[in-house]
Amino acid sequence: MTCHDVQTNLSLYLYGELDFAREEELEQHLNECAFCQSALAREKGWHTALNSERRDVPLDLLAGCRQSLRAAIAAEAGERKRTSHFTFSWPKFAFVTPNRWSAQVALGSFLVFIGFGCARLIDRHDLTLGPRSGGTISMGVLNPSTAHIRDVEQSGPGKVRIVIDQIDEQQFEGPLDDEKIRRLLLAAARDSLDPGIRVDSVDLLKDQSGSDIRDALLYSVQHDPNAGVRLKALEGLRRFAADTPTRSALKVVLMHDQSPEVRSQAIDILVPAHHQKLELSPDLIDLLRGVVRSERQSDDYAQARALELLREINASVDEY
Amino acid sequence: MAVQGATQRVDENALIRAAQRGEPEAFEQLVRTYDQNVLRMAYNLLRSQEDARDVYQEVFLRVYRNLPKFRFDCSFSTWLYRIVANLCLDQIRKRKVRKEEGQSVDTASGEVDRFQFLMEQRADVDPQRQLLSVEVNQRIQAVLEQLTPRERVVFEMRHFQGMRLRAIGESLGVTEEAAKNCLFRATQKMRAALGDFL
Repeated sequence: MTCHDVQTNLSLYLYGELDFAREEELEQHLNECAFCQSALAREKGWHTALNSERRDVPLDLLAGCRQSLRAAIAAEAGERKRTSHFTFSWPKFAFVTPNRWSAQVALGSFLVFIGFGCARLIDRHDLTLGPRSGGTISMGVLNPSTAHIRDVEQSGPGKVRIVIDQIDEQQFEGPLDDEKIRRLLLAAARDSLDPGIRVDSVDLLKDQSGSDIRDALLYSVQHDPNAGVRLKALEGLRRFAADTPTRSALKVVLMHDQSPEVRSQAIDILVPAHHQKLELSPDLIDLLRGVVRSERQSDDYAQARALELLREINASVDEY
Repeated sequence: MAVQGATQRVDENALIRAAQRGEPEAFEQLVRTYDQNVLRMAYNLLRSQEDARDVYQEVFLRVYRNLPKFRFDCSFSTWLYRIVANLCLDQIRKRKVRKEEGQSVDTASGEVDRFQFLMEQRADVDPQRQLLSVEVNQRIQAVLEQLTPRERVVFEMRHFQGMRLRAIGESLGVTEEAAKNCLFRATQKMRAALGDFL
């Protein structure tokens, strides 16, 4: 595989869409070619930049869409009811001839199923006659932050049907190493809309062990839109600093993260404070040169630190 | 994971069957399972709240009307994304032909990218996003505009929605290889525009 082949296939490689043999060839080439390694870093760079350019859907847009859809579907359903010509004919179904025994068995099963179904429904929802013990809602009881009225309609003479969407709050409490708690925290670290919840979740997870924790931290540091969450994830990644995936992610962060604090933290994890003679790999030297040459503010700590490290090993800034 | 995926599929099939029987709660749950992704895809492809809203409504109305005919020949998500992709493609093509909507709006401080303008108007916009350099943003917008409608949709589905090429091919009614070629061309254009810039 030539450098040209590798470089034209880097995106498909990053998407995991190359077949096994081609991926093997490409990785073998990458292991031996510094030029293509830096091309891979650039490729990851524009992938990351695109992700940060991504627009989130405004919450009010989603709410508005759902409301309009509900109204449109209610209108369509009403129209269907008015124009429907399909009626369920009991006589046709019930009066089966004796030789159609399979239909009789089906009818019998259906009636038994209905019987059991109704019994379960009555049991589960307490659908007994007379005043309900727990399901009625009196004026002022509805909590507007967890419930809203979706629909109000007259269901008969003197009767009304009110449909309420309600969020049921659930609480879980347990040790951090409990599997369920861990899964919930991992979900919160990644999916919560509230950056405060994400930062707290990452903070609680960062000292736990396991490759899923490292992967979650790597995801947060590369994809979380909030710099505070990314910084918290970086704290947790310190102990994984020797791992290849962590180092790859840190290099992308150092080059492309928009936050100077995050870049500063990334360079300090990649090249920690040292008292002995500094030795840097060629790709790291290239990366530091890239940081120095980047068009950021000259007072950027990461840029200054990169320059300091290059001087320490007597490497020039411009040399390739 | 495979067991979990199979369980999810079984649950979803039960939900679809309930919706086919006309249970509104089941239909609503089905909508809520997918609607954020659908809206995000439409919004980012079309870059207009109004158009995204129209596509959202049309997608789920079509699902509602045609769900009784859905026979589980393919996965529900493939079927759904086929509708989404076709509607978005139609919108993008219409726009390319009619040029009905300029990419910029006039403001007191001059001409501003329409989408950037909408972003700045939003009160809840993430400050981190605002830090993204205008130049990078402009370059990204320019290269996205250069993609053909199909390249744009394939790239969106692969890069942002994380769909596999096989599923993308099924959604667009083309082979996996054709979808791969489309993605390849899109990434070549992206690399040419952004690779050395970043």
